[in-house]
Amino acid sequence: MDVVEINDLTKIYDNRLVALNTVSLKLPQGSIMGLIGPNGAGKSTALMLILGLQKPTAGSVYVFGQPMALSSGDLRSRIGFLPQSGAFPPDMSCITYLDQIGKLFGIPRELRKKRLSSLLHATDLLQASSQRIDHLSSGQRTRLGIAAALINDPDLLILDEPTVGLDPEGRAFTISLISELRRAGKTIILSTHILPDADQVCDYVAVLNQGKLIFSGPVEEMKRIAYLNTVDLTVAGEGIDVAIVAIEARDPDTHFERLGAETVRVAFQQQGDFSEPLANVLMEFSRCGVTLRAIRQVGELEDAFLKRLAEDRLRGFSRAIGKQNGLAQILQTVEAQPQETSS
Amino acid sequence: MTTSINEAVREATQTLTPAGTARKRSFAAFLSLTQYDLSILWGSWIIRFWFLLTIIGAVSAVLLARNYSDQTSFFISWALVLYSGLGSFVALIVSTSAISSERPFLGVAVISRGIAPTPYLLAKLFSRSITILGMFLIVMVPTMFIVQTQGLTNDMETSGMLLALGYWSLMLTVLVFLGITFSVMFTNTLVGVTVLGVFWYMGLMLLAAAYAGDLTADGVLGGLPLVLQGESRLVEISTILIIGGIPLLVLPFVATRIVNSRDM
Repeated sequence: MDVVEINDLTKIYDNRLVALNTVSLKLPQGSIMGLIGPNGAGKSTALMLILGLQKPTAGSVYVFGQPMALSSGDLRSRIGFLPQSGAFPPDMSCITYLDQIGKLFGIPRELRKKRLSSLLHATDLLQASSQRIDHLSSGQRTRLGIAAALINDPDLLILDEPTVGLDPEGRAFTISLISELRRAGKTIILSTHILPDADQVCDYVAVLNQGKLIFSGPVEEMKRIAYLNTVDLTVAGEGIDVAIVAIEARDPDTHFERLGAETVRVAFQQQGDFSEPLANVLMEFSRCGVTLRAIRQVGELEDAFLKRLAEDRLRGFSRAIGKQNGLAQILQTVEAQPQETSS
Repeated sequence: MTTSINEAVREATQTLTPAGTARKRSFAAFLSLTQYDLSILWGSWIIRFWFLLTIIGAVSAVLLARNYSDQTSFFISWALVLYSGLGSFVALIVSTSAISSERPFLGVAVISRGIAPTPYLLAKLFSRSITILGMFLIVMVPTMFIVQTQGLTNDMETSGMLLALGYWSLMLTVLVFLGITFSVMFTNTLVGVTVLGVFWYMGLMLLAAAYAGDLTADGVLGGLPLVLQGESRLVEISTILIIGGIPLLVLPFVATRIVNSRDM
C-alpha cells in the first residue's frame, strides 16, 4: 500500500510563484523517501501540501488512501511532523512542551506519561527534560522536535531538514535515530539538502528543482542511471594532461573531467563491461609517468544529484534557446512574407 | 549508546494504542487548546493590567456610591458606559490578535498535530469569550450589588441589574466573536484592530446618539437607567437578544469558512 500518493500536484502562490509544477509520486509503506533539491526547489511546499496545511492549485494528495485537506485532522493525527524552524514556545520546558503536544493529540494522561519518559530516553533528553527550550542546544532542539513528532506513534513521519545546523555527533545521532525508526516500521519522508544523510538512510529519492520533479525512484537507480560506467581516479604526476589528450584523441568514447589537481573523472560510453577501456586509460597514464593512487566508483548520491541538476538546467537552457530560435524563425517567416494586407 | 537508543525507540514506538475515537480526540484537542490559551491570556500583561484597573475602579465606585446623592441607576449606568468604552478596547485587542498573531507558526506548530482548524477556532472563541466575560462579571456583579445595598438613594431592581449585566455580556461576547472573525480575515493584527476599532466605536457612538434623549450627560445614557430600574419592555429585550444573538450564531460559521479556505 502507498502511504502517500501525489498526482499532478501543482501549487502556485498568490504572487504567481510556481512552487510545484505537476509533481506525481508514490511512497510505499515502511520506506524512507528523501525529498531533495536546492533551496527554493519546492520541498517545504510539498511537505505542507502532504500535511494538508496548504491547498493545491491543481492535482491531489492522498495519505493512507484518503484525500488530504486542511480539515483532515484525523489523517494528520497519524502523521508526525518535524518542522524546519522547530516553532517551539521558548519559555516552556521540554517535558511541558511534549506533554502539551500529547494533549493536542488527545493521548490520555497515563499513556502520555509513559510515552514522555520513553521518548525523552530515546532522544537522549532525559537530563534536559526540565530545561527551558530556549536554553537547549540546536541538536537538543532537533531531538525534541523528533520526540514531539513521535509522540502520537505516527504511521508516517515527515522530517523537514532534521540534520541542518547539527554538529557531526548530533548528525550521527539523528541519522541513527531515523534508521532505527525505519527498522520500527515507520514510513518516513526526509526533506534535506544534506545529501550524504539522505544517501545513508533513504530507500527512495525524489529530486525537485524549481518546483519540478526531475527524478523519482530508488536511490540505487538514481546513482546507476546518473553515473553508469564512470570512475574517479586519484592520480599524481606531471603528465596527466598529456595522457588525457592522447587518450581522447585515440578513443572518442572516453571522456575526462578534471575535478581537481589530482582527481580525474573518467566516463566510458561503452555499455556493460568497461574493463578494457579502463585498462587502456591506466596504461596511458602509466606511460606518461602518472602514478595511480586510488580508483573510486562514482556512486555518491551527491554526485548523481548534481549531475541530474546540471542536466535539468541544461534542458531548461536548451528549451529557452529553442524557443528563442523558434521565435526568430517565426519572425523571419513573417518578415519574408509579401505584405498583402498592408495595402 | 546506539544500543540504548535502539531499545528506547523500540519502546517508544510500541507503547501507544489509538487514542479513542475521532470525536473524542477532537474534543480533547479543543480542551487542551482552550486550557493553553487561557494560561497564555492570564499570563499576559494587558489582561492583568486591565483586571487590576477594573478592580481599583470598582473599589473606588463602591466608596464613591456611599457618598453619592444621585440615584444608583445613574451611577451604575455611567460605570457600564465607561466599561463599554474602555473594556471594549481590551476585548477588541484580545480577540483580534487571537489568531493573526499565531499565524506564522499556526500550521506547523498546532494544526500539524492532528488538529482540524474548527476545534482550534472554537477553542479560541471559547477561551477569549470566557476571559473577557469573566473579567467583566467578576468585577461588575459584586460592584452592582454592593452599590445597590450601600448607595444613598437606591432605585435599582435586581431583575434590572441582571438584565443590564446580560446586555453587556452579550455586547462583549459579540465583540469577541467579531474580533476573532477579523483575526481570521486579517493576517496583520494591527490592521484588524484598526478596522474593527473604527467600526465598533462608530457603531457605539451612533447607538448612543440614537438613544440620547438630549445632549446632556444624563441624556446620553438613554434608557439604561430605566433598564436598571427594572422597567424594560419585553419587545425591547427580545429585540436586543435577537440583534445580539444573530452574530453569535453567524460569525463562527463565517470564521470557520474563512480559516478553512486559507493556506496555513
